[in-house]
This record gives sequence, structure tokens and C-alpha cells, in this order.
Amino acid sequence: MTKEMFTLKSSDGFLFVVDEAVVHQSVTLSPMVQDCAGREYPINNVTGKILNLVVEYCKNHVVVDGGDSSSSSSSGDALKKWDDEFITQMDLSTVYDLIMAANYLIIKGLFDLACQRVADEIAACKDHEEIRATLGIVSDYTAEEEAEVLKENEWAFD
Amino acid sequence: MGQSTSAAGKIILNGRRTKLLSSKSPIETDESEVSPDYTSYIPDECLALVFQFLNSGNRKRCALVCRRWMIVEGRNRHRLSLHARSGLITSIPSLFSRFDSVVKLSLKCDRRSVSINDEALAMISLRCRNLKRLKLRACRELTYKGMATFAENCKGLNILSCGSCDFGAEGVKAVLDHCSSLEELSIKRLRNFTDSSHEPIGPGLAASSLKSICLKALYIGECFGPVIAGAKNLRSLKLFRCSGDWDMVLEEMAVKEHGIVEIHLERMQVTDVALAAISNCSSLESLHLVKTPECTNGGLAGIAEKCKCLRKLHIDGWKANLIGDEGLVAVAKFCSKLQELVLIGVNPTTLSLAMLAVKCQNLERLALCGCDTFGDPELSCIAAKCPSLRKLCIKNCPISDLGIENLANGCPGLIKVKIKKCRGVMGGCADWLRTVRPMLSVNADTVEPEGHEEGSNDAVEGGLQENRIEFPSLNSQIVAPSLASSSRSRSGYFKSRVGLFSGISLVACTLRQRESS
Repeated sequence: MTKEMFTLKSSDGFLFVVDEAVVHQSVTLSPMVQDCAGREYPINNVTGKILNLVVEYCKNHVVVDGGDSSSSSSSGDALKKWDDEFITQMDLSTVYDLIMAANYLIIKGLFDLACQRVADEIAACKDHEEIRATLGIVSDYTAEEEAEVLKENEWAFD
Repeated sequence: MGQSTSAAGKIILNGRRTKLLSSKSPIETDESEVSPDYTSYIPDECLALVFQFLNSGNRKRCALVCRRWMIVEGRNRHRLSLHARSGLITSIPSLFSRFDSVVKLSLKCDRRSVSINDEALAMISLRCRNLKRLKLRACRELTYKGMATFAENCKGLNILSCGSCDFGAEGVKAVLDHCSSLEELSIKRLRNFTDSSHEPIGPGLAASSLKSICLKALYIGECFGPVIAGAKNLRSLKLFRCSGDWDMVLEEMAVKEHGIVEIHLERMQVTDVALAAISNCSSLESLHLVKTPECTNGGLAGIAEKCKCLRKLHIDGWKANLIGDEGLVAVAKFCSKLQELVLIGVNPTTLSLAMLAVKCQNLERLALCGCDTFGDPELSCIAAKCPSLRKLCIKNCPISDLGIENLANGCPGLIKVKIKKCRGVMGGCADWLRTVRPMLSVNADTVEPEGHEEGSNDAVEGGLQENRIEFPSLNSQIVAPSLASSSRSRSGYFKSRVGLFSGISLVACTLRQRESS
């Protein structure tokens, strides 16, 4: 069974040659399978660095044809472990880029993984000041406004 | 939103976190220069999805980070739970302009405070027109008028759950009269049944939509009879500790509804008359008869004969001994689809158990608690004859190590077993079972032969939570109950010095939660 190969081109000109199984993981790219074999497909808003990571993710998530279902739970665990290591070793700015790339390319697993990482980062902070510090966000609240929000928050259960 | 426009910058944070770098190599900037917020490049919809991974407490913190986060978080909050004290009313306009997409709302007042009143509820209802679920707890100031206004504004309501409220049956009627999509109704400890509300109320506009009704601790609950009888598409009915005579209500229900799938009767005054009515519900799959001491073998047999789809059966006979072998034999004969059987305070013998084992080939989950006749012969019978059994729980039954030995040699499909408070089962037996059946997850407590267990807070006599067995919740970590504290180590492991297998420690096991079928 010959595999069709496709060429993806990042915004900064890097080329990635991938097979059909990788392409199909992106809802956005899936249709190109019909049209673009052999031609370069430009992905204008994703850089090479990020596209490289996207391709790496997709390659690892290719469902093997005729896979043995009895080993699926152990390979599921191994995949989860790979996902964890994959996303944890990245710095946050890369994770944001991945969120946007996965959003544009519509790769749900990668999108959720990246969002979860950011969420974990937020959840690890003990208060909003720490969240700001961690994510590099400057508050645009006045002291009164912030106090208002704090007061309102008290009506909501945790 | 291109990658190429990301600014160079560097932030050093607390010494603890990673540096934020742009994807291109950074040009060192003045540390006093403020670095851009990289999350601002993430579109609002993506930020909202990040928030979805956070619980309410974390989301509240996010709202304090900056204005944009507050807006995104608030607009994408679909579930909100508020302290429903009377003072809430002044914050309602700002709260609900911030949280403008709430679909599931919980209003809980604590017992010591005065709750929100009708006006507050009306204000909320005007701001949450798309509300699907409302949960009210101890909102004692609400009257039927407030509920009526609410229902008029939130006609799309699917689920109403109210506990410890005082708006009486009329308040519920108001919702039924306006909410034609109401699917689930759950009412607990409703009060203020005025004279006029002794009148029975009907299902109103919700007659076709109601699928699930749960009533707990109501003292004039029968006025809801026509709601139950009139809900044409009712699938689930659960009644707990409602006083009055419910035989007639169930008779009326059974006449009209044949689609009902689940019935739970607990501490209800129902007799075999009610059970005869239930037997007409041929789609019945799940039946719980808990502490209904007027129900007998005859009633159960009647259900078994006609409800051939029965998959789950829970009986707590309260040791009244009116349900036993005879009823269970009928279940065995007719209910071949039975998957789950829980018997509490019921006394089956091998007579019915053997039949159940042989005829109910799909029986996967079996639990027995406080069954005085369930001893080694009965356990051995199960072991020998139940091919499909996967989970077994035995609590406070007169089995011994011998029965466990036979279990080890039988039930080939068993994956989890739980043994608690069986005085005849000695300390080392569980470990032995684990060694001979390595694929079996064994959850067992110790038995101290010398003394009575001290300080045990699950006294069998308590009867409240103790005798309840629910398969989905059997995932609690078992710590050996009530050994003297000196012998308990920090991690919950401990050494047993008694029994045949001295020096072997009994390990706390965690049962994995089983997905409900």
C-alpha cells in the first residue's frame, strides 16, 4: 500500500512532508488530501517551529491500522505519557502558539492538551497576582474596580 | 495575529517560573519595560476554552487578573452557584451582566441567614431567560408567587431541584404550568402546604416532557399523585420517606405508563397492591425496594413474572423476612436479563441462590449485606455456579475462610471482591485470596478476634448509611476501621498480628469506579 505524501509549508518557508494519516488529524487540512498530493500546501499563520511540533504530535497520534485492541489500554497509557512529556517541556509562549495553531488546524486532541497545560499553570497559582506574574499579564483594573470584582466573587461558591 | 509580529521580550518571574520568550530570538529589553501579554494573542474563544478546564474557584481568580479575562470568563460561564442570602439582591444586576450566559444556576442559602425573596428571584429570572437548570436550597423566603414569576420568564427550564423550600405544592404547580420542557423534577422537604394546596396538582404543561420525578420527605406528597400519573413519558420515579398511602398513586401511574424504566421506593408505605401495579410496567429495568416492610414475596414474584426486562434489583428487607427465597426464585425464573442484585437484610438460601446463579446468566454484580442466612454453603453455591459474576460484595454475613476458599476456586470472571465486617473471615484470608487470584482486586477489612472494634463509626445498628450498597460508589479507599491508633501507620498500612498469617500487612485497596451501565 503506497502512502500518499503531502507537503506542508510554514509561514517562514519550512517544508514538512507528511503522510495522509497525519493530514487527516486536522479537520482543516483533511480536504486537501483530494487536491494537493505532490503540491506544497501553505499554512500561512503557523511558523516552522510550531508546525514542527504539530507534525510531531500528529505522527504520534496516528491510529495504527489493524491495531491490536487488547493492547489498547497499555498503548493508551503510553500515549498519555508521551502527551504529558510533550506538553510539559514546552515554555508557555510555545504552548500559546500551539493553541492557536491547533485551533486554526482544528486538531482537537492537541488543542485540549495545550489548553489543559495553560489551565494547569493557572490552577497552580494561589491567587490572581500570581497568575499575572506567571503569565506576564498586566492588570488594567483600578483599585476600586478590582475590589468590586472581589466583592462580587464572594457571592459565588468556589 | 501572525507569529511574525510577536514582540521580543523577557520576563524574569519569581525565580520559579520559566522565562517567556518570543518564538524569535529575543532582543534584550530594559527590564523596566513591560512585556506584552502573550495571552492577548489568543482569541477570546480559545481563552474561554482554557477556562473550561478550571473549577469555579480558579475561574474567580482569573476574573481578577484583568478586565479582558473577567469579561471572557463571565461571558463563558454556564454554571453558577450563588449564596442566596437576602443581601444578594443588590448585586444581582452586576452579577448577571457579568455572567450573562448562565444555563445552570444553583441558589443555596445557609440555614442561619434569611434567604432571597420573590423579588430577587424575579430579577434573576429576567436576566437568565435561557436557564435550563435551577437548584434551590433552603430559600425559605420564596413563595409560590415568586416561583410563578420565575417560571413565566424561564419557560425553557429542563430541570428543577428544590430542597428545604417553603413554597408548597402551589409553587411547584406554577413551574409545571409554564415550563413545557421540564424533564426532571426533584423535590425534597417542601413545606407550607396550605389548606388550598392539599388539592392534587397535575403535570400541567410538563405532562409530555417529564421524564424523571424524585420526591423525598414530603408529608403531603400524595397531592403530587396526578403529576406522576399524568406524566406520559415518565422513565424514572423515586420516592423516599413520603408519608401517606401510595398504593393508589402507583396504581394510577401504572395504568397510563408502560414506558417507565426505573422505580425506587424507600421507606414508603406501599404494599403488594403497589407492586402489582408496578408489574404492569413491562419496560421496567431497575427496581429498588428499600425498607418497605409491607412488601412480600407475592408482590415481588408478580413483578418478576411480568417485568422481564429487569436488570437491576435492590431489596432492603429491613429484616422483616417477608421477602426471601420465594420471591427470589420467581426472579430467577423470569428475569434472565438480571445484571445486578443487591440484598440487604434479606435471608436467601441456596434454594434461590442456586437458581439465580444458573438462570441469570448475565448476573455481573452481586451484593449481600446483613443476610443472616448467607454463609459458606451459599457463598460456595455462588462461586460454583455464577459464570458471569464480576463484582461481589459481602458485608456482615456469616461466611468464613472456608467460603472464601471456595470462592477462590470459582467465579472465573470475578474482577473485584469486597468483604467487610464478616466476623468469620480472618485477617490473613484476604492476602491469601490475592495470591491465589492475582487478577482479582480484593478489598477487605480485618477482624479483631480478641476485642470488639472500637470507635467504629459505621455501626451496623445505625442503619442509615451503613447498609447502603451502591456499586458505582465502591471506589472509596478502604482504611482498616478502628484498629487501635497505635498500630496504624501514617499511610494507612498496618500490620495484622492475628490470624493464621501473622506479620502480613493488609493493604488498603482502592476499587476503581465502575462505569454505570
